[in-house]
Amino acid sequence: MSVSHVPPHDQAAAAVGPPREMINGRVLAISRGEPIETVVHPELAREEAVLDIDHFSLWYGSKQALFDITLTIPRGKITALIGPSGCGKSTLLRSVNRLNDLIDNVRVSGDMRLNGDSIYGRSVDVIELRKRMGMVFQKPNPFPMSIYENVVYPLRIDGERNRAVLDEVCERSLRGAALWDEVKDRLHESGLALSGGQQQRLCIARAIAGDPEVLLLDEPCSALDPIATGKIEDLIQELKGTYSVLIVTHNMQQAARTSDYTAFMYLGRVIEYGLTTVLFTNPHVKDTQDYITGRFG
Amino acid sequence: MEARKSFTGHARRRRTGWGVRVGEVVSRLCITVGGIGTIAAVGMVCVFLVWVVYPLFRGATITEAGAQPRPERPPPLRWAVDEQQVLAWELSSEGVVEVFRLDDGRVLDRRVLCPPGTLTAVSPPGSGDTVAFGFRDGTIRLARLGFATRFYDEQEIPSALRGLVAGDYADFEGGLLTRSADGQWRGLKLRLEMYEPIRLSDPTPVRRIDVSLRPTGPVVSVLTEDGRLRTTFVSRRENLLTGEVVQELLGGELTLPRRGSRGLPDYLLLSGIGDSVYAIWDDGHLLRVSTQDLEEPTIAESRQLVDVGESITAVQFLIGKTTLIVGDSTGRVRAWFGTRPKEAATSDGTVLVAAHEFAGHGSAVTALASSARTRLLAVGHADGQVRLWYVTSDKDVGSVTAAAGLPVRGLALAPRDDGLLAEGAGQLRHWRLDLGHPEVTFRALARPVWYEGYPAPAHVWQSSSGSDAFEPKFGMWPLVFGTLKATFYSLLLGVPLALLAAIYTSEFLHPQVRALVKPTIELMASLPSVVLGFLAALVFAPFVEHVLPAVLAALLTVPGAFLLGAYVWQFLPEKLAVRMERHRFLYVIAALPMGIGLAAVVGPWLESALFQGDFKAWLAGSTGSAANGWMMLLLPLAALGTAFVLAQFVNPLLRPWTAQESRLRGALVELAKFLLAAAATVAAAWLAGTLLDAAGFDPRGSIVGTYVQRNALVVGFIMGFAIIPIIYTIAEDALTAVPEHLRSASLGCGATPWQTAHRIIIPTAMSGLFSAVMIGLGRAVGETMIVLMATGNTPIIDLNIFNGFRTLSANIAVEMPEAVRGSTHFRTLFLAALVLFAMTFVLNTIAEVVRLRFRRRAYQL
Repeated sequence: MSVSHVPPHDQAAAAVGPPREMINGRVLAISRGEPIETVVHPELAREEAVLDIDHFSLWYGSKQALFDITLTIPRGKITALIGPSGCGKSTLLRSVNRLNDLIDNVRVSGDMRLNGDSIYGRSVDVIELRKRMGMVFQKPNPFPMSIYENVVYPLRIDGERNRAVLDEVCERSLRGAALWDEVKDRLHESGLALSGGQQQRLCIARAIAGDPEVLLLDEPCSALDPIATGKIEDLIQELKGTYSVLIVTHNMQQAARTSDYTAFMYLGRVIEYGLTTVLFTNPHVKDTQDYITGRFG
Repeated sequence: MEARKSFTGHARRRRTGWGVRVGEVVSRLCITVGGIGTIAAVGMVCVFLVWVVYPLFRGATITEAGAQPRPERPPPLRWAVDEQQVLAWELSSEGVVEVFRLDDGRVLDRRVLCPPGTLTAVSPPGSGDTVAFGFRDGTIRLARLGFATRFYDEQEIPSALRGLVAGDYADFEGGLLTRSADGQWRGLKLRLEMYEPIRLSDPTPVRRIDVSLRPTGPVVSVLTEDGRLRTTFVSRRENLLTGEVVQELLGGELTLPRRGSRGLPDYLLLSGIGDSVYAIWDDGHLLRVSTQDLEEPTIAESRQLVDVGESITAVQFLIGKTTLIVGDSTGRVRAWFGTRPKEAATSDGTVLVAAHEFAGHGSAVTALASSARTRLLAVGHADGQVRLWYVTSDKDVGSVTAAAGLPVRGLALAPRDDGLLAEGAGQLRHWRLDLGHPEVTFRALARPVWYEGYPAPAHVWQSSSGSDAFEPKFGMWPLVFGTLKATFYSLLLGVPLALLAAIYTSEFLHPQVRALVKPTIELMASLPSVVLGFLAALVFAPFVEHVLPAVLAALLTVPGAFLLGAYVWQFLPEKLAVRMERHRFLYVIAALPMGIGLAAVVGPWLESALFQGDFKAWLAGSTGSAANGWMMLLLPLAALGTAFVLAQFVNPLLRPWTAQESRLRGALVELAKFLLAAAATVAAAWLAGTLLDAAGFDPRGSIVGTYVQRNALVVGFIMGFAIIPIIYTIAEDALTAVPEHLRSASLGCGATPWQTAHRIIIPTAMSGLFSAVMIGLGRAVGETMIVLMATGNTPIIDLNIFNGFRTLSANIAVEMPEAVRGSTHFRTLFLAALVLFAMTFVLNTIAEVVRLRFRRRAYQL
């Protein structure tokens, strides 16, 4: 299977959405068990890739969860993965830093490349690999230790003992996660004493303290109230440019608000991948439009 | 009822059914009853223990049983009362024995032993029924004087007496007759058997005499008016055919020095086996004559028993005739016995010490009576007071006033310690005693007690022996110490292994292997501890004794082999190492036999290099210096120290440099570092050992010492093995219960599994790990069969890891079957149970408090 590029439109035409025949029947094809091609918008070709996902499939035991996924995650941009529950968004995200290795009976084929380095190669040191990525989970999961220690944890495990370095990284990360002003006076209190939204920002601070090449966010707002969600979304916007972000969300408004690119996944396949503005206003695939407008999912 | 609309077509009854309600009530009731019942049962166990133990600490009760006038006449030489306290006999200075009833004083029997005026000396009490008499003509006679019981047939009883009410006493043939409730007739009367006179020397009147019984025959010590002291063993053989009696005498004599105006000693006492004669003057002077060689008596020791200005007023032996009780004019009573200190100044190495003292109140001691079965002593004073003292435990049992204001002239204790007779102020008064358990006091249980013959106060548990004069010793510390020793060594081995195994399986092992390993370890728990016990005693203990150096070396080589393996692993090329990752389990397993094999080589080599080829001889203290032993003992500490120095100072220096090096060179540097550190460890241990040796410290005699086959090391191994499954299971569960998202977060940051484990998982699971250890501790404290079978059960306080011990639980198991119900021993065993209960209770409470603190800290997740 190969990736088909839709013939390039010119920029203006894409913005207004010229009359164009929509591709349809992908969901039906999937339900029939046929392989489908990902519809990739031409704008992506101009982006430089930080992460290449190359014909990646994954099985839980005998059940296949990801089907031959090929995606290019652009550098310095925010890429959202959307799709109905159980479509494999989180599985794909966790595959990027090989956290799925921890689960019994997981088998993969294909490969991913982080800045050109193989992720699933036979002689890849997983520990070294994970140091190049930062990950934030659905549920805020600060460690049962102080705020300070939470943030500098990635440095601690690298054996960093220089207090000045640690202090600086702590402050920068907390500022980067827009949490510094709220916690600067109580850095040595337990991270668990913070509110849910603060905890999640603490986790983001921890993720960026390790200076990651790509930041993986797994539904970071799903456990938070709207105000905390708003803060996190603002934060994600601020991180754009500095970090390459891959975010999983089942909240379409969130994807539309925060991301540059969006991939729509369905039952382990990526149906459409392109500029967020285009995908949400003028998708190339009828099934995407149906999902976005709420006809299924 | 009106039909309702229903969406499903089924109209739900909106009432809870009766069955459901009844079920609710019944289940609530059952659970309530069960829960309260469980708590109540535990409470009842505790209450029952206390109920059995409490009488140990109850005081004595003394109740007056009667009093009657006695004619004023010289105090009797000796007297005694029968077991039922109905009849008494007394021996007057004229040589007449009178038997009289205690209730009304009527004389029932009267025997004349010798012509008036001829009796000059009678042996003091202490040798049971055996009495020795000395006469004016220099002869002596041995006799048995006491009460005898005889059972009668109905026909032998005169018809006038046949109507006797059961429990009443009637005069009968010079004694008393009684009928028991089941119709048995029992007569009680005096038994007097005089043996043939013995002439020891020329006819000089006998001044003092005492007799002691050896298993082979009596020993008599006689002081005649001319100051000669003769101690003689009397061998008496009777020809069964002719009835002819042959007496053989064996002994020697010694002339006691006259002490100016004091003249001859006022008291003469012969020790229990006849090896010492004590000659005591009123002014407190004592001469101890050693008669270990009967034919060559020598003066062994001379002592002053009271201070200047005081005088001795009464002397008596305690049961066993070893402890000398000396009462003086100030009312004080002291107990003296011989000890054998290392640098004794006396000729036979024995020195008398005043081990116990019963403070007086200013009124002189006038009479003493010691019990025939315990170390109880009755002390009569010049002001009419009688005080009861339990010598060993120094317990003041109680006191009564026998003769207000007038001296007590005579005292007698009933044979079963349940009655007291006192004569004074023209009266004979009788009390019934219920002593309780005077040998047990809180002080005697917890503090060292000075037992007869011991060089110093000591903690001793020794509940029984073959001898009648033996006193049971109920010091609780040796047992508590043994329990703690067993617990310490088994935890020392079991806890690290169990916790590390739990961490390894939960954090490192592949889930499929874990599914196999965990049940296997839990299966270890199903081994009955009695099986472990006999394996320990019959297989493991002899094995360890046989290959001791290798076993001890394994404690060093096995961890060493694992560490070495880890450094060698670094030499694998990175790609190969990553691919082999999933087979690392096998590599780890291979390190174990390597370590053991290494131990088999290194152990004997170390033994010959450091301990002159015989480690056990070195332990026993016969060969070699302490330095090498210290070195081996200090190796673990030195290793910890080296590891600390490496982590704190060396690694930060090396890190910037090694980070840039290639993998192979990095591995080389690391291995070199490890080998250097190992060498530094040995050097540090050697240096510290030499310094300690030079400073005069020797580990032998404290933490190591003479090797005994069944010892704390063996128990540590086997009981450690027994507690591993329980600690492992709980610890593994606690680690697995740490939320997965914490593990993911840490690993997602790029932490290794070990970093994740020790920085995140272990601190979070600390409360669970702690309870695991505490439950293991509880198991080790209460464990019985293993320690019973594999420790040798020696109740001694000895830190030596190569010596045995006895735990509270094993002690109960060993001794409970032979303890007489209701006896002091029985109740003390229950006290041991109570102590055990209290220990586990306190431990569990501390554990729970600490566990909750950990949980509050770590668990807001």
